[in-house]
Amino acid sequence: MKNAILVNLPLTETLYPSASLAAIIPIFKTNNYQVEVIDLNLELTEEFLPEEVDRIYSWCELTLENLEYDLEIKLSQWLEYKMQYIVSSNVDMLGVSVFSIYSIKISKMFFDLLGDKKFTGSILVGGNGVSSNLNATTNNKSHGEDLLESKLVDHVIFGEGEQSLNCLLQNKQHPGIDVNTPIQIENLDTLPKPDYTDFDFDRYHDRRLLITGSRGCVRKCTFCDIELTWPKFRQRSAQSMFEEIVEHRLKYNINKFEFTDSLINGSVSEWIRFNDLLANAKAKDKDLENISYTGQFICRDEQSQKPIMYELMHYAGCRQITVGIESFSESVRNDMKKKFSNAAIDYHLEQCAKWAIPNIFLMIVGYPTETLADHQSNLDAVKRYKIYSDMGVIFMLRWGLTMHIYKDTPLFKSANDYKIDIIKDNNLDALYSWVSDLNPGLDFLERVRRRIELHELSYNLGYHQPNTRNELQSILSLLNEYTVEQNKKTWILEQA
Amino acid sequence: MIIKIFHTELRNAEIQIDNNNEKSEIKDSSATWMVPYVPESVEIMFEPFGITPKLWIDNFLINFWLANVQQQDHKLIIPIGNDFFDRYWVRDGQGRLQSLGVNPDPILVDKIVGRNFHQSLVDDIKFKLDEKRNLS
Repeated sequence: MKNAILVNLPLTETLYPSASLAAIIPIFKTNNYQVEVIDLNLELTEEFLPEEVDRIYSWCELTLENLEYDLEIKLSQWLEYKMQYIVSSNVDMLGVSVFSIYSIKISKMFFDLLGDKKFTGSILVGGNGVSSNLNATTNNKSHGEDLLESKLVDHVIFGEGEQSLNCLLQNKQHPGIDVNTPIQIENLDTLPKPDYTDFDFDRYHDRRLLITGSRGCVRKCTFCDIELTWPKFRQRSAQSMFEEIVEHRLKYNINKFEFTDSLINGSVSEWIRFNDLLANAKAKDKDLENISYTGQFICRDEQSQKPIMYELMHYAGCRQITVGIESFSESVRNDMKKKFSNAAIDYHLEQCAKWAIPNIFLMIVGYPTETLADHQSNLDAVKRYKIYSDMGVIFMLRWGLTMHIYKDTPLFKSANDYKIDIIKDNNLDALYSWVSDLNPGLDFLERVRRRIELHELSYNLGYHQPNTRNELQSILSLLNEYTVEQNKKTWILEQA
Repeated sequence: MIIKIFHTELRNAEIQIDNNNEKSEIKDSSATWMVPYVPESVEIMFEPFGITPKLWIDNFLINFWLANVQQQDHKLIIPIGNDFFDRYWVRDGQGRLQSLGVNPDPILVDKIVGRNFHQSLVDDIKFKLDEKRNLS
């Protein structure tokens, strides 16, 4: 029997255990590893002051460039202290999860510090963050490649980890091991069910577990980079999802589940089947009756999503859905390739009202083609849908940080068509201060103006807008760094 | 105003508005009443006793706690009035706050409840917008 320590780096949720680690623990165990989990993300929140955690999270999220000197020292000393335990454990393998781009800064710090220690085992790193990079617009090398080149880790797993990890532990080759050319897992039903036995649920802030029903998306929205992670949409069977929920309910006494999917209803038929199975089981078995779930959902018209689907979701325990509406202007949504009409939004809201399904609406202010008339559509819809906010059907409305462009998204790739300069921007993970020759009135300042107007109206009409403090603070930071001259220069270059 | 109740075992249902009683035909385990005005409150008597019917008002499935509906063995007492939806919203906000416990962390309140205007941040942003605009 070999030993492994698995580390979850910030920044992830503290509501529930890491689903990423739970997914790979069965792979370690079937390859004769005994596993210990260290959730540094959770321990950070337990061992630092709330305001310190807030600063560290802002730093991780790239909205704060540098930590204050004292806090940086404290954080590095804390990491070193944690490493002492890891090094002295003499385990065969250290596996580190870099969950997203927002884990890269602390990952760099972690591995730089670990490089000075005399850890004798093998160091493996994985997670979506290893495929990303900071300074995305100027740096083509991923964080994982940087770590490999610097010899700070022995192996990097790019892309989905389950099959690659299994091969790595058996000394076999597989795409995605140490090379950023992973292949997608075809059949999600073949993967082992996540194993949470090594987590102490009482330490997490909510008794809730994550579940993955699909990977990828059925849409190709122009602003979204999900296709980079999962080029194809892959759906688990309804039966398999249902069995996992029931098993985890009975094994861990967990009733609340959160789907990690980009969209839970990518396959409408499978989604209906899943809800049917769960609703029926809940009606028959008292042990299951309190099961509920949340997830991200795609809006479609009535032809595609019949009323029965919403009814089954209600009886299956759907407690909240997050929907990327993005804009209440149909024309803007068409440009985004969202592929649903205003009538579809009306229908969706009617059904959610009928079955008390709360929605979090995700919005984007200032898409490159958004005109003042489109902005007015947003303002009008906020007024029109007030009743749904009053009744909790629009449970929350998120206007976000204004339109920003991520590298390698369809929009980024067609920047020339939109006459958007993609070179000039800042050191953040996306471009915020772009301007398009096709819609010159919509510069960053105008986007912020519209964002604030929507904030004011939404607040006055009683909408709940979560995390607004952070968002407004970030907008103010962006605004402070914004230089009008930069755009003017871009204009001159573009015109020339 | 449309008021509807549903329960798979529902046999009889009668609504009382301003001392007037009106029965409803039970169709697909549900009873529906069209009320031509907004009453201050209504009572719905049902059989069999002891069931908890689902309740819709104007096609909104109603949460009994948020709507302050009193459920008795054989009837629902539903305060309505012109401010029904406003009161529902207020209770909803109170419920969200209460779910965070006593003296919740303001950051968590902002994240979960999200009913702060953040006047000083809005002012700062507007000031900065003016400043940058004047520069251009």
